Amino acid sequence: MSRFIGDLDSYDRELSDLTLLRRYVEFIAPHKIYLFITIIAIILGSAFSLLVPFSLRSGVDSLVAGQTEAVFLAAAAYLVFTLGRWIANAFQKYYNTKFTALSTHDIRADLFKRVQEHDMAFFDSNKTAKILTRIMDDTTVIAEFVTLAGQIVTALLTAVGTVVVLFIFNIKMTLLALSVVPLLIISIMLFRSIARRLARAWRTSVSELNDSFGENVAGISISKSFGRQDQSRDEFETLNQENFWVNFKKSAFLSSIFPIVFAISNIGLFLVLYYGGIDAVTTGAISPGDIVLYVAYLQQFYFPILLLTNFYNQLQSGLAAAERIFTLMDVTSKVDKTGTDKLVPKEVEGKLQFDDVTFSYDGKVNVFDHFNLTINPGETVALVGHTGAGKSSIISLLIRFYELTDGNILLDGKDIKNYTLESYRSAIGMVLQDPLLFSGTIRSNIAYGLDEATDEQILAAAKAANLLEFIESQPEGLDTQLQERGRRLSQGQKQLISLARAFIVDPRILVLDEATASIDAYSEALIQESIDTLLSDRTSLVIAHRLTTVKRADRIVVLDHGHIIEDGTHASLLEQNGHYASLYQKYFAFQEVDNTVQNAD
Amino acid sequence: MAQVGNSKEENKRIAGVHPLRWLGSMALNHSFVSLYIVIGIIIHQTLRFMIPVFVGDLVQYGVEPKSIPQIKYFATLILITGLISAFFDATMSWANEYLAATVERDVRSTYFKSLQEKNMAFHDSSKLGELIAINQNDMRSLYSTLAPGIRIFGEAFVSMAALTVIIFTQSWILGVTFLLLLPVWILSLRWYNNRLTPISIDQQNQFRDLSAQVQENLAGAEIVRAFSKEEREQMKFSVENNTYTSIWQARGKITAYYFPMLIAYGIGGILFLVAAFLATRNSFVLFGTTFQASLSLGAMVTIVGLIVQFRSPTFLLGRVLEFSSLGLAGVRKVQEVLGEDSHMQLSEAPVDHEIRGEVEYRNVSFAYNSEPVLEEINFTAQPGQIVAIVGPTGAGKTTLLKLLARLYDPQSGEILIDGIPISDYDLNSLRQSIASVEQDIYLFSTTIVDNITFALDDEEVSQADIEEVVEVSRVSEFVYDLPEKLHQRVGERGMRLSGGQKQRIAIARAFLADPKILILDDSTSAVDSQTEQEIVAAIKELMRGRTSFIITARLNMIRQADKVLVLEKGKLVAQGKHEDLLHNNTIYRRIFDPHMELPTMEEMS
Repeated sequence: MSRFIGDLDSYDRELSDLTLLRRYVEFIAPHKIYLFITIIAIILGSAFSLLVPFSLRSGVDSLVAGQTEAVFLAAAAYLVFTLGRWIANAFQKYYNTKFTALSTHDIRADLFKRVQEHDMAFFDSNKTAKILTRIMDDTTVIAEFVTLAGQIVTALLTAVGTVVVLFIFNIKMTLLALSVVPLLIISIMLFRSIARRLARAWRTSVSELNDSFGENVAGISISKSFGRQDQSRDEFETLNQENFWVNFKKSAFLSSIFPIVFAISNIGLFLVLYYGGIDAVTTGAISPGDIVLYVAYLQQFYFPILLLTNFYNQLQSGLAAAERIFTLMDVTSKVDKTGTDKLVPKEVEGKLQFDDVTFSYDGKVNVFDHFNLTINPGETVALVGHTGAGKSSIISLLIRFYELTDGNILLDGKDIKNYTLESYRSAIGMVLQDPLLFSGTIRSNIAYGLDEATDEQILAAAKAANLLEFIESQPEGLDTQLQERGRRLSQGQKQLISLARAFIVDPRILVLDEATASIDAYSEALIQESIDTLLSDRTSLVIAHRLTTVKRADRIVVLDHGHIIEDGTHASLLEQNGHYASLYQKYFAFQEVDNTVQNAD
Repeated sequence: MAQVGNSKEENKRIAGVHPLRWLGSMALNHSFVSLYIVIGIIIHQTLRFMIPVFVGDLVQYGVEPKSIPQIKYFATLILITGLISAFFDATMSWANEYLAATVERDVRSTYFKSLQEKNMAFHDSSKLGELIAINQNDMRSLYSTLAPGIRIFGEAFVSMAALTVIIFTQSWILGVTFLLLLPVWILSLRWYNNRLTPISIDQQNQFRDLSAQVQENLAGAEIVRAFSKEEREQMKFSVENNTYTSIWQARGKITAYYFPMLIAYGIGGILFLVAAFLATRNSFVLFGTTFQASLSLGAMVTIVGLIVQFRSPTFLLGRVLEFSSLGLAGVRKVQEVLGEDSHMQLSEAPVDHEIRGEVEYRNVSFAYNSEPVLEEINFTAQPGQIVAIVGPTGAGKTTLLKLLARLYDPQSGEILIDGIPISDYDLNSLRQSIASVEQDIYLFSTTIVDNITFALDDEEVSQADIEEVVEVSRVSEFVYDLPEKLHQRVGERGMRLSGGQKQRIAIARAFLADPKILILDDSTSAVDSQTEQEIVAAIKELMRGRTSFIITARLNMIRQADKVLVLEKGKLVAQGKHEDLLHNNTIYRRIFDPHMELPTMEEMS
C-alpha cells in the first residue's frame, strides 16, 4: 500500500537559479566578513601574479642596458612579489575554506532540524539513503563548487588582467597569443563530450561490479554451503575484466587533456616567439625582456582556461545539489502543530475517542470515513483485521503521525490538537513492530524516553520486560554496547528492549504493534509475558498477532476497510461465528494446537 | 577461466610490507609498461625544460645579433620540442593508467578470492558494509595512488633533476646553489605531508561518524517522534557537526599555507639574485680565491624562464599529498584483509567417495572466540534418517549443524560421514552433498528461478526439473500469481517476499541440489496456518530419502523424527525417539507437558 505524500525526487526543477543563489547567499551572509577577505585576497593575488613577470622583464632589460643595480632591484622585486602572491593565495584559500565550511555547517544544521520536523508521511515515501545523501553529500558538492568558484574567479581575474596588460604592451603579440584560444576551447569542449560518454559507461560498469561484489560477499555462506564458490568467482571475474577495459579507456582518455592543452599553448608560444622575435629584430619594438614577459605570462594563461571550461558543468552540479537541499528543507508538515496547551501526563485518565474521523493518506482514497471508536480508561483494545483494514492507521493517527482530513480525536474529552505535540506524545507510549534501537548502551536505549532516568528506574523497566537475566549475563551489564541498531541481539531480545523502553515512561496510554517477524520460541514466551504486564493498568491499543494478546484483551475490534464490523470479547465474538471467527481460524488457531513452549531450566 | 589471485602464503606476506613497496612490486610485474613510464617521464620533463633553454638561445643567438634565421630556427625548435614532449606525456600517461587499471583489477581478484577463502568466523565478525567499502573506496585509492599519484611524484622529481642539470649547464655556480637549496624544498614537502596526513584521516573519520549519526536518526524517525526527542537529536547532531567543521577549517589552514610553495618562490628568488650577481660582473672573490664567472644574456633569460617552472611541480605535489595519505591508508586496509589468517584447513589428498549419508559426531566440542558453544557431542544418524534437534535459544543447535558443512571446524572431536572424517573430503564436494534451508534465508538479487537453480550449472537442469521442484516445494502456491512468475526478481532490489515464501524457495533450491544430507533450520515463529501446512508438506517431501537434520519446534515434525536430540547450554542432554523420551526422560517431558506452566506473575516480581 503506497502512502503517498510526495517523493522528493518527483519534484521538477522548481526553483530558479537566482532563487537558489539567493537562498545560498543567506547562509553565507553571517560569515560575509570572510567572503570579503577572500575577495580582497583574490584581487591582491591576481595583482601580484601580474607583477611577477614584470620583475623578470625588468631584470633582463636592465642587464641588456647594463644597469647593474636595477638587475638586483628586479631580483628583490621578484622576491617581494612572489611573497605577496603566496600570502594573498594563502589568505584566499583559507578564508574561502572558512566561509565555505561555516556556511555548510549551518546548512547541515538547518537541514537536520527541518528534517526532524517533517511528518512520518515524508519518511514513508522517501528512502533514508536519499535523505542522507542530501544532507551529507549534496552539501559537500556545493562546498566543493564554492571552493572551485574561488579558484575560477582568481583564474578569470588573472587571465583577464593578463590579456589587458599584454594588450597595453603589444597588440600584435597579444593577438598572436590569443589566436590559439578558440582552438583550445573547441578542443576542450569536444574532449569533454567524449569524456562524458566514457565516464557514463564507466559508472555503469563500476555499479555492476560493485553490486556483484556485494551480492557475492553477502551470500558467501550460501556459496560455501552449496560449494558454488568457483562459479561465483567466475562470474565476478568476468565483470572485473570488463571493468578493467572501461576503466582504462576512460582514464587514459581523461589524462590526455593536459598534454593537449600543453601542445596548443606551445603553438601559441611558437607564434609569439616567431613573429615577436622577428619584430624584435626588425622594428626593435620588442626587447628581450618583453619576450621573457610574454613567455612568463603565457605560462599562467592557458591553464586557467582549462579551469574555466569546466565551470559550466560544475555550476550545473552545484545548482542541482542546491536545489535538492532546498527542496528537502521546504517540505511542509501536514500535521497541525498550532496547539499550545501542555498536557500533564500524570493527570491523564485515558479515555480516547475517535469522533467522526475521516482520513486519507493520498487525498484520494479514504482510509477512514466518519469513523467512530471510543476506548475507556484502562481498557485493552485489540485491533484485528486483514492487511489494509486500517489497524496501523488508527495507531498512527492516535500518535499524530498524520493529520486528519475531518473529525477529531479526543483525549479525556479534549481535542488532542489543542496540546503541544511534544507534551501530547510524552503521554503516549509506543512499541513498534520494528524495535528500532540506537547505537549506544542497553542503558541509553531503555532510558531513551526518560531523560535523567535513574538506574533503579532502568532496572525496574528491564525487569518488567524480562530482560534482567540477559543483562546479567553480559559482562558489561547495562553498559553493554549495542552496535549498529542492536546487531548482535536476537530479534526477541530487541523486542524486549523496546518493551522496556516503553515501560520506563510508564505512559497512561500505550500503543503496541505486535511484530510478525520471526522470533525464536524462547524469547516468545518472555515477550508474551512482558506484554501482558505492559498492557495492564493503562489504556492500551494493540494491533494483535498473538493469540494470547487477543484472548486477554478487554475488547476486540474487528476492522474491515476502515469500518468496525465486530466489537466484543474473544469468547463472545467466537460465538457470533462471523468475521472474527474466520480470522481466528486462519491466523490464531494453530498457535494453540502445536504450540511448543521451549523453556530453559 | 584462468586462476587468478594469490595463495594464502603470498597474501600473508603482503600484509607485512609498506603499501608503496607492495604497489611497487606489482608495478614491476609489468616491467615493460613501468619502464616506458619511467622513460616517458624523463623524456617529457627534459624536453619541457629545454624550452626555456631554447628561449634563451633565441634571445642570445637570434635577437641580440639580429639574426632572423636563428630566430626562426629556435622558434621552430621550440614548437617541435613541445609537441614531442606532449606526445611522450600523453603516451606515458596512458601507460600509467594502464598499469593502474591492471593492478586494480588484479588486486580486486585477489581480494575477492581471499574473502571467499576466509572461514565463516571471519565473515561473522566483519561488517559487510566495510568489506564493500573497501572494494569501492579503497580500490579507488589504490588506483589514484598509482595513477596519477606515482606519475606526478615521478614527474616532480625528474623535473627537479632535469632542472638541476640544465641550471648546471648554464652556470655551475647556480647549479651548486640550486643543489644546496633543493634539500630544503624536499624537507618542506615532508614536513607538510606529516602535518597534513593525520588531520586528513581525522576529517574522513569524522565525516563517517557524522553520516552514521544522521543515518541512525533517519532510520529511527518513528521512535524519535514518538518519544518527542527531536531537540535532543539536534543537540547530538550539533556536537558532531561542530567537530567536523572545526577539523575542516583546521585542515584548510594547513593546505592554504602551503609552505613548500613559499620555499619554491624563495629558491627562485635566490637564484635570480645569484644570477643577477653573476651576470653583472666577470669574476668574483670568495674565500680568498678568484672565480671566473659570468652569465650570458641568453643564460639569464633561461634562468629566469626556469624559475617560473618551479611552481608547477610544487603545486602538483601539493595536490597529490592532499590525497595520498588517504590513498595509502586505503591500500593498507586492503593489505590487512588479505593478510588475515582465517582460513579452513584443507586436506592435502582429498578422499573420493560417494556419500551415502551416515553421519557421526564423535566427542565434538566447539568454542566461538573462546566462548564454549558445544561440549562433547556424540550421536550417530543412519542414511535417510530424520533427526530433530530441540532446545532453547543459545543451546547451540544452529552451530551444531554448521559444523557439518565445515562452515566452522570443531576444536576437538571429529565429525564423520560414512566413517570418513569430513576434513578428509574435498571441501567443495562435501558441501555439494549437503544442502541447507537456513533460518534467515538469503536470496540473491536475481530471478526466482535463478535462485532455485543456484546449486547447479545451467546444463544440468531442465525445465521439467524446475517445474517439478516448484510444485513439490509448494512454491507453485504463490509464484504463478506474481507478475513475472518464475522470472520475478527478488532479493534486495526485487520483490519483497514473506518469510514463508522465501522458505519455500530455499526448499526448492535444496531440492535441486539433491543432497544426501539435509539441514533445515525451522525455528522461527509460525506464520499463518495455511502457509504453515504448505511448508510442512514441502519439508516432508524434501526430507524423503535423505539424512535430514531439522531444528524445529513443530510437534508434528518432532513426532516424525527417527531421533530427537535435545541440546541445552551446549550439551546433548537426551536423545531418542519422541515417544520414548516423553516416557523416560524428565527433562524432555517438562518441555512438552502441556500443563507445564511458567512461573506466575507474583513469583516473577
